[in-house]
Amino acid sequence: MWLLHFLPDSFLIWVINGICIAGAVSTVLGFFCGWIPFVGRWKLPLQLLGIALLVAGVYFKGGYSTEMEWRERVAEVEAKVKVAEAKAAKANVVVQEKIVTKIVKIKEKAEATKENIRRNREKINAECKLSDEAIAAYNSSIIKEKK
Amino acid sequence: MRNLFLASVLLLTGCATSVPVTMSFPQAPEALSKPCDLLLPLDPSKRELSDLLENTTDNYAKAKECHAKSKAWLEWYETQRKIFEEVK
Repeated sequence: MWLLHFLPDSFLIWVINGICIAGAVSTVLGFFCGWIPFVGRWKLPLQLLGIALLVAGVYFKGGYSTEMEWRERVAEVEAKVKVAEAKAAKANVVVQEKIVTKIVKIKEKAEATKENIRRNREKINAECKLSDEAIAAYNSSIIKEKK
Repeated sequence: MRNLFLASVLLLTGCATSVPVTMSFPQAPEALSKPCDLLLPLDPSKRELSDLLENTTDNYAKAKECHAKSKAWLEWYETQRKIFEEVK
């Protein structure tokens, strides 16, 4: 059915309706108008051709309807995807701005605390000196263990 | 014979199914694509309590940053999941 994509919709429906009408006319002539001299001579071929065209026409009509339904659904989903992609990009900007602001605040607070420590350096260090064991114990919880 | 072959190839193409609609995977925010910083050990030459406090402050800041990033990842995932669910 993908071949139908290459043909314009108006042309397709025109051809399908043409086949259906030709089939219906041929069937009616073949079955009900045998009394007309010309038709009477071609009765059987008209009946066969009419049924064949009618069957083909109905089949194509069904195929065309399904194709159109699918095209509509594809267009609908494409529109939804477009909206979703725009929303996703917008959400990214919101998350990005939020995290950047938060990181800046955390860094500012850490810097203020460090500044306070530096200001009170003398008082903080007055009664304490770190031993090698204290530094080793502190660092042992920070240094990444080897695998 | 050649016509029959062409006709069967043409008929078989009717079975081809194309999936024309695809949604691109959302790109994560740049700030979240970097891993968390490692904690800094105390320089053994720095033996004063104030040095330890400064180092601890730095490490606390890194831990808080990492926590914020982790929360942001969860928020990002939840938002993107909701957007994805809307398309279905």
